[in-house]
Formats: sequence, C-alpha cells, structure tokens
Amino acid sequence: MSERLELVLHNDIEALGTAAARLGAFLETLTLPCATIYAIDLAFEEIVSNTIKYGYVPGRPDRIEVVLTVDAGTARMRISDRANAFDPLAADAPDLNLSTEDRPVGGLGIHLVKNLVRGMEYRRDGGQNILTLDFADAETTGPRTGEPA
Amino acid sequence: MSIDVTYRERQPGLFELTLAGRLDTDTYAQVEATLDGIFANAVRGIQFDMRDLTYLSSMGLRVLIKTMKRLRPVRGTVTLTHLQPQIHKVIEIASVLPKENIFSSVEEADAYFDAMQSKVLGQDG
Repeated sequence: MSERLELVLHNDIEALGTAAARLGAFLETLTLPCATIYAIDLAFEEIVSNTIKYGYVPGRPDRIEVVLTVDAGTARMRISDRANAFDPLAADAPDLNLSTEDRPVGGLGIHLVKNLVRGMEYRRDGGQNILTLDFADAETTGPRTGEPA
Repeated sequence: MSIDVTYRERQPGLFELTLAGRLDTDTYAQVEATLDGIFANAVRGIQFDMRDLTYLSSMGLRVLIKTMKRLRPVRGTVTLTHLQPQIHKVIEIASVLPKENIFSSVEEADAYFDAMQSKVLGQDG
C-alpha cells in the first residue's frame, strides 16, 4: 500500500504553518511509529523554513514543492525549490561544545534533521535544489503484523 | 498548530511555565512574549513543564537557549520536567542543556533549583 502527499507552497512563513498543518493531518492517517512521524514533521519545518528565510530573496514570491511517499516500510520526502544553491549536507555543524550561553541561538535545525533521518541526498539540477530524505524503516520500528508465529 | 502557555510563580523568583501543544516556527513568538512578561519580575529560575508538549523544533530550542542566556547574569537556573521521549531526543541531539537540568518530577527540579540558589547565595555572602 502506498500513500502520497504533494504540497506546493509559497515562500512565506505563513504558508509554512498552513502546509505543516496539512502534513500533520496526513501523517495522522498513517500507521507510522511516533518517532518517524516526528522526524518527518521536523525535517519539513526545518528545511522549508530555512529555504524561506535564507534561500529565497525575502518578498520575492516563489514556490517550494514537497512530495512525501509512504510505501510499506519506507517513508521518503523530496523537497525542491528554485532558491540559491544550498547543500545542507555540506553545512557546518554547530559547535556543540560551546556552553549553551555562548552559543548562537540559531543553526541547530539542519543538525537535528541530519540526526533524525536515515538518509539524505542533495542535488542541484536545472536551477533547483532537490533534497531527498529517507526516514527510518516503518516496518522495523513499528508494530509487526502478519508475521508467522 | 497552536500552543497553550500558562505560568505561575511557585517560589519567590521561580517561575513554572507550562507548555501544551507545539513549540515551533508558528508558536515560538507567543512563548517568547510570555517570557518577556515573566522577565519583568526578578527571576531566579524558569521551570518548563513539558508534559503536554508534543513537538519542539529548532525554534523551540532557540527559546530555551535565549532563556538560559537571560538568566546567566543572575546565575539563575533553567529546568525542564516531564519531557516526552521525542522531545528529550531532540534536546539531547542539540545538547542544549546538560542532563542535570532535566527532571522527571517537579520535586527533583525544585531541589536542584534550591541547591543552585544556595550556591549562588553562598558565593555572594
């Protein structure tokens, strides 16, 4: 069984909230483990908000496309935009050794995503950033059904 | 997408902030506004009750980091209680605050706050 959600949103933070609500409603209909749902939710927010805030020129309307597919055992999300080239895999890791008080308040989003996904692949193609995220195996982390005793 | 924020001063200078819902891009400003109101008082500690917080993103971590920064000059304490597993994981990955500041009960968090405060007072005396 395969489930698919496609979201197209404008590059403004208000649109992010609306799209996140739609994603949340979609995720509720699936029987994925809590940890996988959380990871999808968080990756969506962190990557898309990053693109809106730093990738696109503020105030110049453009769009971001998100496709989430959930097949037996796998969840994959593809996020594409036409913003400035940005490879999150090449982004500097935040310095976690600094005491919290000495740290900059930002820069943790990509770090969280990297640690919560199973795999992440970036390519720049035809002026687009295309990021593909794979999430933990739903079958191995969720309750098993139909297994021989 | 929403959050409910309530707070009370449980001991002089110790404010308990209860968060229910999602702390994210949409809602962090609301929590920051509440904190601004709290910081109009003489604050020694902020205790975040997270039992009904279901989601926290990097914008939520930002709220925690800012709160710690604001408490630093008075050597105040941030404590978190009753974290749901996914929230705990996010805070651990970001290593935002040490394990010693995370508690499963309010009593333990209070004891930690008291211990830290007597240390501060001891140094001042």
